[in-house]
Amino acid sequence: MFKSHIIRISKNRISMLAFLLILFIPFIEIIQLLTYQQNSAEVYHPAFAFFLSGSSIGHAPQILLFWFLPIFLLLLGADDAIQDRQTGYRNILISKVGRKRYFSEKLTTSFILSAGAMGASLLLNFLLTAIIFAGGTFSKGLLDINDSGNTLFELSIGHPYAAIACFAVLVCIIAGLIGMVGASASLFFGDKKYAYTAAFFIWFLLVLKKNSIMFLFQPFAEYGFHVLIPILMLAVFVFVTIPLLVYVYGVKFNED
Amino acid sequence: MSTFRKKMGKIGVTAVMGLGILATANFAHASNDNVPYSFTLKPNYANSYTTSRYRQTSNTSNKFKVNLAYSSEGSGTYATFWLDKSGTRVSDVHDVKQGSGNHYYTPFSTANQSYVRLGAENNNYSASSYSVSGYWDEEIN
Repeated sequence: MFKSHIIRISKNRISMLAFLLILFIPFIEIIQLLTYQQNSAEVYHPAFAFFLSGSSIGHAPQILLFWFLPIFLLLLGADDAIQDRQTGYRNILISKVGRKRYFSEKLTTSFILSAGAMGASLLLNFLLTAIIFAGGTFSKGLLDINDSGNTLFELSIGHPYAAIACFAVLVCIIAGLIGMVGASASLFFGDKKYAYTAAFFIWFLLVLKKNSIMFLFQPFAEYGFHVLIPILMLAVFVFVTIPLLVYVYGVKFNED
Repeated sequence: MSTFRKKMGKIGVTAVMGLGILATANFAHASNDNVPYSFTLKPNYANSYTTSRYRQTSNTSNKFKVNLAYSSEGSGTYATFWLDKSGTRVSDVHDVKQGSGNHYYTPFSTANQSYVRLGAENNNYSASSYSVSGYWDEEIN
């Protein structure tokens, strides 16, 4: 079922378009940083030119990709369950593999797919920045900021590549989880209108909060562990509870 | 005759002193000033700017100054600053920590002998906006 699911998604034009967008939005950042350097004697440090570091003015590419992340991930394939329901394929699959496997496969595949797409995008961006900005040292003055007392910042500045690697892994996991929330909404509502709205609404509540989930996406910022860990715990709680509830409801109580 | 000469001499000295004061006053904004600014850091594509000041030096080693004295985001938070000439960035961007005092940065040569302003934005890509205030100077010598 997993294999046929992936093949179906890879043959879908909208899914491929969403994948290409996730892959290429970080390119805008590289172009912006290159134009910034035109009049300057400085070259960006590769770790600070990395997409997550958000060194451009306005952060437009980051906002475009991360604020609307659930939409991209739903288009990518997390909304697959809706198609199943509309075509009636859902009934065939459920009678073949059972409700439990049907639900768990939809949820885990969207996790893998979403985290994988984000991982591919960030890896490609890192490789390109490492080549394009090789030997650069400019950090927007972040390397000169003395923020003793902020362990995370001190560690990040001391080991910039380790910092961006950790944040990248975290971003992939969060992308996987919000992909799973998108799949849950699709399984639950079976209608694009409601599924997209619900997933985006849950995500945007966390983006708009004063301690925004976006802080988890950005290395070299002023927010240390004491701010980030509560944000992470709340996000994981929300993103794990929703799929769990949908799974239990779909498998145990809703015999449609 | 000598009194007349003395008188004229005195007038001359006064005139020179007066002109001198006028001249210094004229050049006052080329010294190390603390020009106050305050504005809102907008959350996304929009940037905030101060009013423009004339940068009369032709030397990029005459740096510009930024001091982030207050940020409603909280104590010790960062904001990003740069020098702007009517919509074109004329310096590198720099993150400044609230309460960390004066910072001096080198502008591009395109900033020389023209009206420049301080541009600012939040360093985070969260959806919140904050108000900040502090001091800046377009040239320090």
